[in-house]
Amino acid sequence: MDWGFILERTFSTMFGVEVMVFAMAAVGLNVQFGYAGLLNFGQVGFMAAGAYGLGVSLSYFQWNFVVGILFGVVYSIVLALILGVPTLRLRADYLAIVTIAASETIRLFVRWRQMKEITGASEGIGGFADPFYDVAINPFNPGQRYEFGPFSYLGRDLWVLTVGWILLIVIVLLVKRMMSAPWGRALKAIREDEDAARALGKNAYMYKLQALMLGGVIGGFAGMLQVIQKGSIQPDTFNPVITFTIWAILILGGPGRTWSPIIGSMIYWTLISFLENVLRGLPDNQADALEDTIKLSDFNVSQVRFILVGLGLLLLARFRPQGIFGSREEMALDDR
Amino acid sequence: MTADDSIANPVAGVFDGVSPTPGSAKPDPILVADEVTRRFGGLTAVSVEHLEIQRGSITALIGPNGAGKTTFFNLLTSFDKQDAGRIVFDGDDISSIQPYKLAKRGMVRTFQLTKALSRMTVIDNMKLGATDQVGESFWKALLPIWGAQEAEIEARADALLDRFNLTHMRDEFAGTMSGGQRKLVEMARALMTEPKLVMLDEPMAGVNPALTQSLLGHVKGLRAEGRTVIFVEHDMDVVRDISDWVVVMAEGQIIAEGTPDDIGANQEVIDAYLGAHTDSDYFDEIGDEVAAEAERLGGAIS
Repeated sequence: MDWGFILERTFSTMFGVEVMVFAMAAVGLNVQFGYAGLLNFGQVGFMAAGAYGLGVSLSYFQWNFVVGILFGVVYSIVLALILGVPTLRLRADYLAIVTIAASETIRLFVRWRQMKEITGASEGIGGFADPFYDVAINPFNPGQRYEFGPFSYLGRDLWVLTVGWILLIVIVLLVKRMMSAPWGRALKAIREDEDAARALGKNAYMYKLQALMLGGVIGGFAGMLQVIQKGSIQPDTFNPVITFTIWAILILGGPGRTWSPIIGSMIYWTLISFLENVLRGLPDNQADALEDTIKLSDFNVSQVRFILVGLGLLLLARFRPQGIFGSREEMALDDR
Repeated sequence: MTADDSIANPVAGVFDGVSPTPGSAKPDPILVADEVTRRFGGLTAVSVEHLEIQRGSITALIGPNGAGKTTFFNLLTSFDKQDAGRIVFDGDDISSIQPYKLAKRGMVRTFQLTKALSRMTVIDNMKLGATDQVGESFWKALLPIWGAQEAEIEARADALLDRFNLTHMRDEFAGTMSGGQRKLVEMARALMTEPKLVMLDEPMAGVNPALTQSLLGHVKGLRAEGRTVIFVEHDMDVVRDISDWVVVMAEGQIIAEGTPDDIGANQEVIDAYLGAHTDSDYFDEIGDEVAAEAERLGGAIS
């Protein structure tokens, strides 16, 4: 086995685009679920809103790139309002139902044939991301491969990663600031008990709506970064599995903690990458043995790594339900 | 109410001229309910013709199970909406106000099932109570403009924790506290809003006798500070010991009003409560011991 190659791939994944994008989406979900207690099961819908806000503005309306980003944000806010205004006065489960349905509705709507001219239907949108790479301050050559010790990235990805990680850190610090402010305290109080917060003069509905919008916009940025890196928007990449992955990452890290979405995302994707590279890199005789016993072929390695990660999450839920960063004592207070 | 003569009771004697009849007028009402009705389908849960609550007094709302006390309480605090009727608080009509707006106007409530915010520290529970916090606005939270107010709020919270003997729990999660401590935190937290009117929903429920006395002292302390208190309670000893005025509900209506002594002698109330039975334990001697202890604590606080 080529351990050097396996480790290089694994380390590169640790700060790679997937980790960054999913960490960003999980930071948004952390605002909504970790701090405000909102059950948003449609975070991928916000990613789609951001992605299509950007893509449609650029390819259909031919607007400026910055305006496109702005529209990605606006679409995310609009989606949060559509989902939140009717449901946030109701019990928590209503938001869960509406968000999961809405995220699928968005995917089916943008891939609808009648929308071909605007959203590109099932083919999606391409060729809109060039302005992002063409800016003068981009120091990297898109085609060149850059190596830093065990890390190795294409110049194109490196530019997305630089912008993405800076944005991510800035957003995490802003969220941290918000949550240590009286605003965050009120939000946590609403998570604990809405009526108590109301009795003390907090407008629980407005706080929840603001949290949904803030988390949604952060999710929108995740979607925008994802499609900028891909260079195209494919409607079917915005499927519910993405939402569940984001949830797994947040639970893995521990909800309601500042850095947990980033660490959760790193662990999740690094593990996936490591398992895949190990399984694919097995020497022939071992690979043959595995193929004979559990039918593990190159073809189903990608499934097997998810099975193993699933097993890992199961063990985590059993032995460390509070996640990596959570406090068990705090979690035990939940049901009292 | 002889026991009350020994400590500061700003409203002592104010009820002397008030007729002990349902809907009677008070000299200076802070809260007035008029023709308040609440129906659940065919059931009329609350139908209150007229009720005035005297400013600065401790008023008990009592009645048998299912009398509509809690429903009426929820209507008064806007946590439920009446089908008809008008509620006036301190001169303002609050009939259709959002409940969160009441804290700023000076009305605060607690809950029958204590709502300690478990996964927040006790001090955070307290600081939450302060109204008009600059840093509670979304955009202003990001700016460095709420630090001074935060320090002032924290000092006030610490003073209240000290008064309620909770300083040792300051940095613990509220969820780790005993039931009685939670009651104390809830009351202290309510005081952070600097209320004119404190509404306590069964403040003594599930609290051991020693802590009951301490809580009674705190309630009297509120009156000594000039605040008005309305509380729902089942424990008649408590009612007798601390209330200046008692309002009795049965089947959604107010069937009697009066001083605790008036109510103890009211045949209608006894019938409503006990049906055919008469219970000599109704207002018993134990009450006096509790009263004496409460006086002591109440005096110490005020």
